Amino acid sequence: MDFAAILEEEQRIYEHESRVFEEMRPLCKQLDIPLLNAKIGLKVLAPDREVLVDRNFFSHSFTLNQLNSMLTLCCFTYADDSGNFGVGYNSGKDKNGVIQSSGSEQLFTTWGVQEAVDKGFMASITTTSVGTIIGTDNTAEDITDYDLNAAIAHGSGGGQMLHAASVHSSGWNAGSSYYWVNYNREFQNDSGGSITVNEMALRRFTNTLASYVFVMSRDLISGGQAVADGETLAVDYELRHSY
Amino acid sequence: MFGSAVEERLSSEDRAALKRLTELKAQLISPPPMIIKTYQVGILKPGGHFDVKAEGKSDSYLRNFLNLLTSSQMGKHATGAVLFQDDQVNFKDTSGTLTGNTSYGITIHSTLTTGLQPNTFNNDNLGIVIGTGSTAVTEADYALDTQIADGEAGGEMVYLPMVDAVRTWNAGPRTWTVVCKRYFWNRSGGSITVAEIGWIVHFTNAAAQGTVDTLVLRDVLSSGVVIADDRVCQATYTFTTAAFPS
Repeated sequence: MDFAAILEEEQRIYEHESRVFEEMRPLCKQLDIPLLNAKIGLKVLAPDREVLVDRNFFSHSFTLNQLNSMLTLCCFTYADDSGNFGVGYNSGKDKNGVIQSSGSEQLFTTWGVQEAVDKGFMASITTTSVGTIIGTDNTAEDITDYDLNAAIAHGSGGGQMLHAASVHSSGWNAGSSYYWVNYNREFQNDSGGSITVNEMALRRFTNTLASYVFVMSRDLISGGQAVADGETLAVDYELRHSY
Repeated sequence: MFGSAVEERLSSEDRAALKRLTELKAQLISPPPMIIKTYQVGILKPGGHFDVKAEGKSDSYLRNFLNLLTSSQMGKHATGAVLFQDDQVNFKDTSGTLTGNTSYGITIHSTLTTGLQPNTFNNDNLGIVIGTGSTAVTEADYALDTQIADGEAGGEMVYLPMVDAVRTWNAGPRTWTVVCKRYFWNRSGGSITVAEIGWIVHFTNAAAQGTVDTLVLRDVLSSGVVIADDRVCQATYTFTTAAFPS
């Protein structure tokens, strides 16, 4: 499938899933089922900020960390399966691949300040440890993913991109009855060559037990997205919670 | 989606809604996580048999809980403490005081026994709670209609420690079930009719861990349950997830 056809199919799926979510919302409200999802926006910007590419799709892969985070919070239980990680265990795996668990404290929560840099999903300029990150690997998504396979480093060297700070915005969509929180982050290619971004993830800083970073979503970009030297990739992760 | 044990407790309208939701979910490349809950209230008989007298789908994650979910899952600080409505992310304690600190997120107090499930006797401001009121549930509810107080005087029941939640992974359907229960002993000298249940959790919206009594669930029972003097009431919430992806 050529790249234009990939984009066309991606847009078709996005519009279809948008309609599906719209119909799901009142049904979830009737059944009292919380409905969370994530909509991703990708833009490639020319040096003069002209929008060269504008892509939209829903996240297709919450990680097991995120599923267990919902299990823990919504079912009033604890992520206490010590030493085990996988479907059927309630625990987390941090970005370093270490299994984390707790029988007495909330594992996946950031308490206190969440919207400041390097807390919650927010990254400071140049930071790669938390927030939105991008990479070049295109291995299929797996529920047990706990990090990107080939994260792009910050910098101006070969294969690197300059990581800006995350920008946080939020609001209430009255028409569709959901609260949204958007994390925008830009990555500028100053490397001298083109870089194809194939994967992206959302890393979360948590701190009730100790300070951990968990990847809550890892998404492949269908067909990848080439970012030429001098261009900028702008990523928007918009988290939505229907009421 | 959730199994027959859940679906048999749904009304015909809710079964139809669930059927359509299941069809829609199948059209998504990766459906989001889903959790449904049911309740049972009855009498604990000698020998440990649980005589269920009222059961049904729980109709409430209240606005307090939905705002907790928004804040803690999406990294959002609270909004102000002026209005308690859809476009705000704040919470009301059980006395009706509105809290909203824009500098911090909303979270549950960290520890199990001080934030969610009390492990001591006589704690009627944390964990599963019961009442006699029957005013219909609204999302904005922040207290039981008429909570039964802990004690042995007229109209009171002794609140026992919460039994540890039992979490079960159901390998076949790939779902989780979490069963949380609490017992209440009627030593008041007369019978008491339990008509509503709920769950109080300790929230915080500050830099430090707080203990703000916050009602997150409330349900009016399908029928009142009469608890005779010297009998024990059991109230159970069961949470069930949809299938986890392979």
